Amino acid sequence: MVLEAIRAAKVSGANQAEAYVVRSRSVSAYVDDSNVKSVEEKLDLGLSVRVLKGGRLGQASSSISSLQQAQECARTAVRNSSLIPVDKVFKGFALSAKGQPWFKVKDPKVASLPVEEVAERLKEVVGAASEPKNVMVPNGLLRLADLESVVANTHDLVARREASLVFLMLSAMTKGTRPGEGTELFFSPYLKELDAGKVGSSLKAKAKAAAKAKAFKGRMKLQVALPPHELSEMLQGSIQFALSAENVNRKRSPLAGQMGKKVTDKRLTLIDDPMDRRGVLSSPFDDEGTPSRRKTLIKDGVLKGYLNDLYNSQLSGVEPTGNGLRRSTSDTLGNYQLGVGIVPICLLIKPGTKSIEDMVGEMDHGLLVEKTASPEVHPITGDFGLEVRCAYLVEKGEVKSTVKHCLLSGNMFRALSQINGVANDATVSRNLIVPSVLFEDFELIGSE
Amino acid sequence: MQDILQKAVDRMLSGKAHFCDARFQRLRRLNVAMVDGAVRTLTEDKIEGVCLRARYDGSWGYASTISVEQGEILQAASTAAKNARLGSAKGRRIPESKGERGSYKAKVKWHPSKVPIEEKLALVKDLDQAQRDVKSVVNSNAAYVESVKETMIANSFDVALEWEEIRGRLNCMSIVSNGTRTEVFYDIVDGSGGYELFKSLDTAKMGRSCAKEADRMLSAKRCPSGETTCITDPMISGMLAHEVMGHASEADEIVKKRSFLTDVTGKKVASDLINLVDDGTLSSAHGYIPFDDEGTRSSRTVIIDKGVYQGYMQSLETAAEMSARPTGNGRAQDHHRRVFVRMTNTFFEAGDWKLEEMIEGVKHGVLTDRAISGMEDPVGGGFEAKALRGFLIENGKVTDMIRGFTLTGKALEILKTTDAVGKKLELDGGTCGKGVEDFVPVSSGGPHCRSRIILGGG
Repeated sequence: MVLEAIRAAKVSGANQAEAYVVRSRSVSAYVDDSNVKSVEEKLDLGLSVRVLKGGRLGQASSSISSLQQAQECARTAVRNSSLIPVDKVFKGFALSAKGQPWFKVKDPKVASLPVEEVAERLKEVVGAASEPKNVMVPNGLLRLADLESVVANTHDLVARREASLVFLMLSAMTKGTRPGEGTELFFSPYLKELDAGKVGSSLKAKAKAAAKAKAFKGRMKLQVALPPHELSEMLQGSIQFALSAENVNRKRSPLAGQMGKKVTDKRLTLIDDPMDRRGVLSSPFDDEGTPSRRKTLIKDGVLKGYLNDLYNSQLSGVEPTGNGLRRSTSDTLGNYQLGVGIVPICLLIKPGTKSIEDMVGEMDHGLLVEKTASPEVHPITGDFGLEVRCAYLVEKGEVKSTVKHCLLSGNMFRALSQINGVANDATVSRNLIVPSVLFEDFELIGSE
Repeated sequence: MQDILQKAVDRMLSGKAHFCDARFQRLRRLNVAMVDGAVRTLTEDKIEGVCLRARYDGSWGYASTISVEQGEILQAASTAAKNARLGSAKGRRIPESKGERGSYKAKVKWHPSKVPIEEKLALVKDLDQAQRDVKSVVNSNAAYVESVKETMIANSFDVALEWEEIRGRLNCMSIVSNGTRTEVFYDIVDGSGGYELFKSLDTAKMGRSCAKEADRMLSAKRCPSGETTCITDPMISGMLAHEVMGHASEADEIVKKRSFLTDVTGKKVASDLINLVDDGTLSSAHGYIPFDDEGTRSSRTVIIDKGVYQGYMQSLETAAEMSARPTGNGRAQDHHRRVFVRMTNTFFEAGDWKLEEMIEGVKHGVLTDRAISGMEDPVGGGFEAKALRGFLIENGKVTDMIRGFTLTGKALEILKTTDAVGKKLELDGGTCGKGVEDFVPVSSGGPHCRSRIILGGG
């Protein structure tokens, strides 16, 4: 199909063409009110075509059920290219590397597991999280997906990726008039990594903890430990944004012009490792077919590199880093519709040696966050204010109370320069693998 | 296609489904984006396929395919019927209703397919270019998106419908810098309708204004933190309407008692000045739908009337569980996604205060200006919204501009303190994801509202 799309683009007058096709099968089981409510099996096949014609870049995408649709998609891309001015930046698609890459981070069990067993696995997790009189699982899902993508272009490049995805997202809630809710996320290419009992027990404990939380009143400055999933989202909204060459080139990254300078605390080392087999996006090439290698982005607090796709590497005159992706960490449907975006394939924070429990034990006056409403950071300024849903106030190494309904306030770029400690609990969270990190000097604000 | 969908329904019924539907959807989208004076994206996307959905007891089985071939659709129908029997949920049967039949085209003046792409490119170019008139702009962005969605549905209650939904959105974003600080401002025009949404728009004025407002933000102060009197603008009022009160009023959360608004019908939950509705029939709003994705005609649902809670938004399933009327809120992102209770256009209704009068009554407070994001909390009723910027109010006058900040508090406590509701209602379009996926077009909004809210952070 990719070759047919490229042929159709050339026949329509394209000088260069690139086709990206994704075929996937996903099975999702949804829980509702502690019962498996929906079971879904979905088949998807789609194509994205980009063409260069006379220096003009056009594109189109489509779900595909026939070769004719692939040809139509290619012709649409060519037609679109004729409508726009010559692109002064983009000179061409990725050149063919030695050999033809074919990469698998794939668990064959994910592709072969019967739909019935996906529902059974979800029931196991729900069973472990539930207590008939005290805790229920109001909603969530378990998804197993199997994906094959191919990118090819007129430079004879053909790069094929096969991947599997196990994604779980569940919430548990205590019963009663003042319920508490906990959530659990899980990302992996491998089914064997999903320990139903462990995930369920953790979920139950989080719900029970949240039920004890009381509205925080007043305000204070304190140390704050952020757990992996909360930290991961905050890093995506700050440092991941800032490391993208698209944002550097557009002068909206706080890291623009900072190469070789100290940008964070020396305890922070950030690496993008596309070959890490724990990662759900891992592969040695990106979705433009550019080889991607292990890169140290920040070493001991010093900025060492940005992430590039083809367009931005040509804009800034550097080698592409192989980070032009059209992948999702939680779904495989419709990935061909995603535009190329600069994303780390598997971003790692080098873990520390202490457990999070030990770090909390050494806290004099601090907060261990369990859950915030939405751990978003203003990507340009780094400012954040997060509504705390459940967190533990710690005094002299001991949890004194559980709090909610308050704001945790700070600046993420400043926080990364004020790291007190890095724990050893590295966890896969979307395209990052990060541990808990203890930061200095956040502000907690409650009602008066 | 309607014949094939009906055959798929028959196939699911023969697979022992108690209720089922077959839904074909085709979405065409044009996306034009310019960055710093150059076209960054011009793409046309098309996605189409069929969703088969079968219900057995209280569980659903789904299967979807991108094929429009009868054989593959019928095979998927068999899969859906089989999958429905894998669930463990019990539930009431969906009561049979008179199936609606018909074909409806979107009522637009300028159908997007009839307007040359060159005209849309020019629109975006003007919007991008105008931002560069302001010297502090380091990055200008302008984008146009149009979507045409066709839906065809058949179900086991003899529904046989097809309709069209058309939406458009034009937005700009200016990034400014003075060498030490960087700030951002944006502006958006959106709605349901054809190209008439943009025909009379002065894009140069819109772009310049956006850049000037971004430039003003370079001298904005830091927001004071703590609980204060806050006048929320229509966007932030809409965040409270949609994220907290709206999501907690979706009946699927009520059925499983996950919402803090469970069993509150008839009770006083807010100030007398508060009226909250979800209205899918507003034909120019971004969340307009003639029918939901179950074939139920859209409607206006009064959620709160003069501070008293009235009722919930329903799908076919939740209406059956609660012995209520379906309200046309069973929605799905596309043929690959499940149907469940979703909002349409959700907003607080206008009151009778002028904004100036609301400001005059504040000794120390904050006036918000535009939203960045918000987050739902149906369990705890907590409110969180991030404002793009705001203004200090001191002794009844608007004074300094303040940088982005976050608003929080318990929604019901905030709404009980609301003592003034503005005259002018505005809606802001966008997409709503429930959980981490399943995005549907919606709008939210309201007038300016004055309440006590906790502020802080960025």
